[in-house]
Amino acid sequence: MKQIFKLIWNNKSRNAILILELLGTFLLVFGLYSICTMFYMNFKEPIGFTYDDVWMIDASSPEDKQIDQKILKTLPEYKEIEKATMMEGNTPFMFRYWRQIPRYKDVKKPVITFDAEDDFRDIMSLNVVEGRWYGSEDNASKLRPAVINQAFQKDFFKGENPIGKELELTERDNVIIVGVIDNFKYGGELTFTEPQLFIRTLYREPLDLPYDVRQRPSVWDNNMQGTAGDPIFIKLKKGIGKEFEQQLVTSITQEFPGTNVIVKSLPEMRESNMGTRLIPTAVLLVIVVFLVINIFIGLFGVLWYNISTRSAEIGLRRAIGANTLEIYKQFITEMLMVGLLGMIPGLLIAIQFPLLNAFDLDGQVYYVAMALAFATVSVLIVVCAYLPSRQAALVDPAIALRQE
Amino acid sequence: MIELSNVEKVYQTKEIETLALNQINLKIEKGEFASIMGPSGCGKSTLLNVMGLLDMPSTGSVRIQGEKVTNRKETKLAEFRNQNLGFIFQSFHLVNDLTVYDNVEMPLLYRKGISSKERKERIMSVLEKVGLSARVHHYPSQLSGGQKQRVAIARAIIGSPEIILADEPTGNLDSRMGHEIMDLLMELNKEGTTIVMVTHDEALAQKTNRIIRLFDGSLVN
Repeated sequence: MKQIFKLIWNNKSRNAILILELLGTFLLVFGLYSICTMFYMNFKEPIGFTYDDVWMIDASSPEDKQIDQKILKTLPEYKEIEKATMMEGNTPFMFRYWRQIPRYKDVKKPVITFDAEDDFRDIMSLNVVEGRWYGSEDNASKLRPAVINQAFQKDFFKGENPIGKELELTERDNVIIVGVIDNFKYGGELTFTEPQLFIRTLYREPLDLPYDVRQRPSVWDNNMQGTAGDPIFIKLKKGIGKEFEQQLVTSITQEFPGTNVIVKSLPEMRESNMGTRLIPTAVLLVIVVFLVINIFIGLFGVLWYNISTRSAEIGLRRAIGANTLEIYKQFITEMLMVGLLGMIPGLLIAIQFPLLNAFDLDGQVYYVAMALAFATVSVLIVVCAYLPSRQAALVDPAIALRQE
Repeated sequence: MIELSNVEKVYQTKEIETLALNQINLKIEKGEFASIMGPSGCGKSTLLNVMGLLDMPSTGSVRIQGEKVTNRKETKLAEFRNQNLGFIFQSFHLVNDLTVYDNVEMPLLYRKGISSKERKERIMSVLEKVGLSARVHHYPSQLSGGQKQRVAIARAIIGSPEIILADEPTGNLDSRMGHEIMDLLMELNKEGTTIVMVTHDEALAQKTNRIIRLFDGSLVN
């Protein structure tokens, strides 16, 4: 091994391009595996809600800013609809990341926030693990009731029971936590769990409550409220098919002329979301495959060249006692060492990602990706080195030793 | 020590068949210093390669130290070469990217059961024997032709083989260097090593115990 390392080290300038190529490939493969590992780990975590019979109605009118609420009020008339609700903030399967920054004691950080009605839990089948979802029993509450997810509980309460605790949203707005759900991966299976906060919002009945049920952040009000309404979600009764979609659109536009209505099923939205999330990964995959092919050709070329220039050395090694297996092993080991010279700097770069908590990802994602990238590049080297090394092992010592 | 019986070596291509060795019957005794002479292309190196198990005869058999070595498996042949044979070549065949020390160490890398301490002692001992103990960390490019051949001799004897096969060991050296190398080989022979040397130099051949002459692949005597 020592001698092989010396051989590689003394030829480092000749192998420099190959080492750089391997470093680049390692980093790209690491990047690809980081994304894949992140997706896999996210995918393993339950999505936390059901969407099979849920549709979204997106209505807008240039003349009526309240069109969404008006439509919502008409929806109980449809026998096909089991329940309907409206929400604000982060729409399932769409790329929205509306966050507020609540504070509890010393912990203050951005969390994904939903302004959701009482029926939202039933429509999405959210799983309450502690306390309860908010509802009419909170009408007498002095503070806006809110529900958090377990990630929120972990980050803000660290083992403390969150039920009944107050959170400061703004200086004039506190909420009280009434329950904890396990999770609501509204961005789809491939997204990771973030701390989430659901705040009770009522769109339909202007109840005289001690708290403002439509209290929204001013930025949201100024920028978002207007022609586009908030999305409405409907849960359909069992057995209702796609034909109801057109019927619903026609019915709404007849009742509210001039309204633009789009109805989408959540499974369709999920599929589209999944595709959009996977496109960058697919692009990276193509780049990595291209580079891997380049490396394959590069390794092949370098090895063939090595063997042609070192056949006398191979002949000598055979003469002094090396068998074919030992020659074969030597060339594979040499290439693996060249690979190591490329991968060690790669590992040093890669280790910075978990150390610096890059992209807010779990460190495990990076460690798994590092191990996989290391194994992949090593396997690639062995595969590339196999044929040329075999060729070296088959060198006839008597012929090779005749070469000067 | 080395016994060749009815050895023939035929090189075959699609078009032609070349008889490189023809019915060679030869015995090299233990402790002998034999030289092989003959015109270029007469089969001297082929004969040496057959004796060194680097090439197998097309017909006939080779016995070394009483053991029939033809038809052995490749791994066994490699092991046998490592244990019993030392090779010296006209063009030295040193690995340019390795130091003198590393070049000499090479045969021991293919031998099991030698500690690094013992390896070091053996390397230093043979380098002293060939007069290169001051050049341990030099690379071949920093050595003269004679010094390179001394390194090659050190490498050939590091494993204490009973037989050394030398293919024109002085062919690339000037006369003075050639005689120095010859003296070194004769010293090794005096210590009991059997040596078979291919040479074109009649004067050097005369210094050996026996001259084997080849012509067109056949022994001439």
